[in-house]
Amino acid sequence: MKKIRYVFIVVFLLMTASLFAQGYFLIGYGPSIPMGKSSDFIDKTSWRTFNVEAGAFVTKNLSVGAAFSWYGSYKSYPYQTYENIQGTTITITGRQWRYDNLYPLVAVVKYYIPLKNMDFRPYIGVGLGPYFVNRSLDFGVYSLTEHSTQFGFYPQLGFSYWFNSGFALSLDGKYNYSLESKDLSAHSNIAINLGVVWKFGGKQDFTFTE
Amino acid sequence: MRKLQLSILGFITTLAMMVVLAGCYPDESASVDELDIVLTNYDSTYNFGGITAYIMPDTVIAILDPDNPDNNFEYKHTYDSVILSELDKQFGLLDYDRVTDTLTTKPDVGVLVSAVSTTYVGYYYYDWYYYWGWYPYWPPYYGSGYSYYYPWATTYNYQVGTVIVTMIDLKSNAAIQTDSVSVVWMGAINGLVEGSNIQTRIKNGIDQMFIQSPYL
Repeated sequence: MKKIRYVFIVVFLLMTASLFAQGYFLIGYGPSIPMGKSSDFIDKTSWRTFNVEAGAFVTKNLSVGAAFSWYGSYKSYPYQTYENIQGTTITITGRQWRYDNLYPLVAVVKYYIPLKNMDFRPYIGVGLGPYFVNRSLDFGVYSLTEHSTQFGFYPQLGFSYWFNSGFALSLDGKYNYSLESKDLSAHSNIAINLGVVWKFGGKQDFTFTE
Repeated sequence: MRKLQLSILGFITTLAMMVVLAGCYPDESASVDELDIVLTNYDSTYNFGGITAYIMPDTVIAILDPDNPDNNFEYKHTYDSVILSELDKQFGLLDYDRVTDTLTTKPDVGVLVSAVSTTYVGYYYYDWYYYWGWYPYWPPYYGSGYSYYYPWATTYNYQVGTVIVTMIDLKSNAAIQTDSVSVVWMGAINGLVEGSNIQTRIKNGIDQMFIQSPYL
């Protein structure tokens, strides 16, 4: 619950900031593909990805904000035999259910490439902050769960298409990477996010008006 | 007008997303037998090829789980005959002869079978935070105007049973003379003690112990 409170606080602060600058709010959805050690645990594309982001334009081509996401990966494994568990002579047969939930809460900076056509705004961005991780492995009646907070970041590439000065659709791709913590290995994924964006507040329309 | 339409479209899209997300968290129900586990372990230095005879008591030993002394559910020997006859069958397929008179034949290994059953209690706990705002009228108003839904929890319990089969080496006299004997192979079935097909699950579990132990 603490995480959700932080999100509310960050969103509230950003909305307050947008009274002075032009603010935006983005909500999005899309697939995420586990990479690296994440794919060693679950090698399946997830469609449980959700993203909210709020921020403000500090110049015509630069915005700062905060984003909260959920990447929920899940895979069930059939009844099968696993030999030499952790290098021992133990063999186990059973079904497995694996869950990997990643909740990044990041500060975001985006640079919008200036183009003549201001309806179409490609951007590059970077996110940086804590990634809250919950990983569970259910085997038979037993469940092993690890909670951890990892430091993570992502580079981002995308564009938004503004239908008018207040509403846009956006599409972006991110490569999330969070560093290994004491309890859990590093997490990484490639996430595609299709979102809707609203712009509000501010005295000057930085994004739409030349 | 177009701006308003697009904003409404955006709002509807957002609502649709929320509905989709709320419904998509995986919660795959598993049947009781899907929660069964079969575990085996062995001494890789032991020569299993040399076994020709074994001894096995005609009773399953009921043991208590030392880690859960308050929740032990004593095994009542309900499945002794199923367990022992299936083991007998499997050892027979390996051409191990079951010894009943140790004065005439010396067994190579001893097979000890035990069972343990433990009741686990779990809690589903709902934080009042989730319900704040949804049940604003209960309990009735406090002075401040605040009200909240009282925290509540519901309990469930489940019984987990384990059948443990251990094979000990009887050829090594040195092992017998010490307090602890060397276990050369062990198998265990673990699962919920529920449902009508417990006997079939026990048989399948014992068969699986032998399938995953090709060195026997």
